[in-house]
Amino acid sequence: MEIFREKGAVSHESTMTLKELGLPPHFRRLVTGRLGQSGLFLEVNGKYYLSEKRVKQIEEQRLTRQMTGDDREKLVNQRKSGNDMSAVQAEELTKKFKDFTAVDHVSFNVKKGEVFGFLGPNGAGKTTTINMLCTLMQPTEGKATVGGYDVVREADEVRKRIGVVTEKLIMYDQLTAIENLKFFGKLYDVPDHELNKRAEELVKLIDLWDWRNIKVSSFSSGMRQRLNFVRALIHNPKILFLDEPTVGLDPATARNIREMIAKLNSDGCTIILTTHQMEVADQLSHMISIIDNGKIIALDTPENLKAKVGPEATLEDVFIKLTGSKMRDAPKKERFVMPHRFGSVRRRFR
Amino acid sequence: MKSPLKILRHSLVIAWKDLTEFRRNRITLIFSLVMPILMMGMFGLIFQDSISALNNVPVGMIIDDVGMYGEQIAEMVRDISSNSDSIRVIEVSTRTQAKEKIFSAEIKAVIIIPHNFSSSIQDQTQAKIIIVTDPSNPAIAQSLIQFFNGMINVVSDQLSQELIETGMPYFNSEFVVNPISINVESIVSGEGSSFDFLAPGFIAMNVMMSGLTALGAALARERESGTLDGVLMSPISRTSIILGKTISHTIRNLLQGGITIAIAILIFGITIRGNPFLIVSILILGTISFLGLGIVATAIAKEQESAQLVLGLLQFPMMFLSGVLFPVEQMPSILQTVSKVLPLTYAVDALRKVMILGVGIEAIITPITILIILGVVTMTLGVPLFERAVKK
Repeated sequence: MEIFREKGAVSHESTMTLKELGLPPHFRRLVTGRLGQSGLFLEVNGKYYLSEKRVKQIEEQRLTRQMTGDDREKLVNQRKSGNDMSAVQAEELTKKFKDFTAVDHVSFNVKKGEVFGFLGPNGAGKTTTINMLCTLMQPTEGKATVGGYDVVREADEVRKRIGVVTEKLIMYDQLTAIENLKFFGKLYDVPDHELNKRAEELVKLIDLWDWRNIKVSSFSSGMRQRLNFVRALIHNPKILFLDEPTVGLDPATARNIREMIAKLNSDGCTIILTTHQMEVADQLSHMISIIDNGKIIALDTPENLKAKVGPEATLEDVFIKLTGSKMRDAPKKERFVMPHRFGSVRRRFR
Repeated sequence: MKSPLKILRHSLVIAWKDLTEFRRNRITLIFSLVMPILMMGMFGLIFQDSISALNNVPVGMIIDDVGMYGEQIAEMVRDISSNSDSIRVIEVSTRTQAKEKIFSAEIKAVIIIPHNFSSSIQDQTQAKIIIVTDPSNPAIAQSLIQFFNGMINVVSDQLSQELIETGMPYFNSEFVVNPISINVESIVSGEGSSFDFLAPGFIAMNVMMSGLTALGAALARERESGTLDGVLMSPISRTSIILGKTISHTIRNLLQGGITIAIAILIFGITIRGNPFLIVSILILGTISFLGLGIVATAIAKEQESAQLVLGLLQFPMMFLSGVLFPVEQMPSILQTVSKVLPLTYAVDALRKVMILGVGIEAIITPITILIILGVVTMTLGVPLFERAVKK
C-alpha cells in the first residue's frame, strides 16, 4: 500500500475532482491501490479518498507493523511519555518546503541524560528536524518542546538551554579563539568573570592554550573543529545537539571528542547526536532513531536494533537493511532535485 | 520581551565584534579608506573649474541704488529673467535676508547694486556691482559669475563708448575704459573649489552605499560562513542584531568621513566651517536611514541576487542624481524632480550646507526632517522584515 502525502501531480488533479464532487476539504488526502482496510473512503475513477485522520491512522499502523511487539510497545510508550523526564519531545513535527515534505509527522522523545543517536541517509530530514528543535526553522505542523519549552512560542528559553555543534563551523575568522568563545558567551549573558574563566578552561580542554590569542583564520581544520565543539559549551547548556562532531578529525582527536561527549553526558547533559559514523553512534548512544524520507522508521536501543538483524550485525547493517543500499544525493537547499515517487516525474524546488 | 538594556548590551557586543573584524581585515580597511580619497581626487580634477549650463537658477537681487544707472542694470536683469530660461530673479531687500535665502537654497547667488552706484558714475569713478555666490556649489557659482560678467561688460562697454563719444576730458582713465566693474564675494570667507563641492557629497555617498549594503552583505556573508546560525541560535533579540550593525556602521562611517575630511583639508585645501557636532549628527542620521532602507530592500528581495539588483537600482540613481557629482540645478527639470524623491539628495544637501557654508541646524530643518522620517519608517518596517528574512 502506498500513501501519497504530497499534493503532487496526481492529487492536484484529484482535488479538482473532489471539488467537483462538492466534498469537504478534509477529504483531500488520497490513497491509491488496494486499501485492505476498513473505514470510510470514497472511490473515484479507481482512486480512493479518505479523511486526513484516517490516513494518519493507516500510517501509524504501517509504521508499527514493521516492528516487533516489544518495539511497538516501546514506541507507544515513548510517544505517551511526555513528562518531566523528557529533554526533547517532538509531536507530529512536520516541515514542508513548498510541496516537498522534508520532515513528515515525526514524533519522538529524548529522555533527560540520554545520548540520542539521530541517524538517517542524506536528505532524510535529519538536519531539518534538528534545525526545528534548535529554533532555526519553524515547523509547518506539529509541535516540539526542548527542555520543557516550546520551540516556537518560547524560543528564547529553548535557546538559553541548548548548545549546538553544526557541521558548518560557527566562528569568526578575524577573531582569536578566546575572542570567539567570549563573543558567543556574551550573547548568552554569561557573567564576565565567569566567562573569562570558562573560555580559558575550554581552550585548555581542547589543547589550544598556546593558540588562544591567535586569529582563527590561521587554524587548521582540526583545530577549528575542536574550537567549534567547545563554542557550543560556553554557556553550560543542559542539552547538546551535535551534528557530525568527529568527522574529518584524526583518530586521536576524534577519540578525545568522543570522550568529551561521554564525559558531558555523565555530568548530566542530554545529547542528540547526528552522524553517519555508525561506530560512533553505536558506541555513544543509549537510543537510536533512524529517519528516512522524513519519517522515523526505527526507534530502539542499539543492542535491540542489532539483535533484530542478526547475532553478529553491526549498526551499519541495521542502517542499510532499513534504509536500503542505494546511493543518495544530499538535497541542496537552494536547488532541490527530488526524485518523485512516480519515477519519471522529477520536480524542482525553488 | 527583553529589557532595552539587554538589547543594547547585546548590540554593543555585536558592534564590537564587527569593528574588530573590520579592523583586522586589512584589505577591507585599506580599501574603504582609500576609495573616498581616490574618488574625490579623480572627480575633483575632472570637474575643476567646470562651468555648468544655467537652467532657471534662482538669483537674488538687492537694489540699494536710487539713481538711474542702478535702475537700468536692475531692469536689464529683470528682462533676462523674464525672457530667458537661464536665471530667475528674486528681489531681496537686505544682505542678511539674501544670506538666509542662500543658506536655505532658495537662491544660488545675489547680485547687489550698491547705494553709490549711480553717484560713482556721475562722479566719474569706477562703479561696482557686487556678486555674492554660494561656494558650496562652485560650478553654478562660476557660471553665474561668468554670466553676470558678460552682461555687465556689455553695459560697461556701451557706457565707455558713450563717454568717449561725448569727447569730454576725463582724468580717470580707468573709469573711461571700464566704468562698471564686478566684485565677486563669497558668502563665507575663502574661495570654493570643486573639492568643496565634492567632499561632502562623497562622505554622504559613502554613508549611503555602506548603509544600503551593510545588513544584506553581512547576512549573506555570515550565512555562508555559518556564523549567522550561531548568532540566531543564541537568546538575543533580533533588534540587537540590527542595532549592533547600525552602531558598527555608524562608527565606520564616522571614521571614513573623518578621514575623507582630513584628506580633503590637507591635500585639496578645502575649509570646513560647520559645527563638527552637527556634521557627526548628520552622518549618524544618514547611516540609520540608509541602513533601514537597505534592510527593507534586502528583505523584500528574497534571494541574494535579486537583492543586489534592487540595491543597484537604488544606488545608481542616487549616485548620479542626488547632487554628489553634479549640481542638481544643472540637470534637466525632470531629473530635478526625480532627485527630490531620492533620500541621498537631502543627506548631501544638509552635509554640504553645514560643512561648506557653516550653517546652523535651523537652515537644514527640511532635509533633516526628511531623513528622520525615512529612518523611523524604514527601521520600524525593517525589524519585522529582518525577522521574517532570517526565519526559515
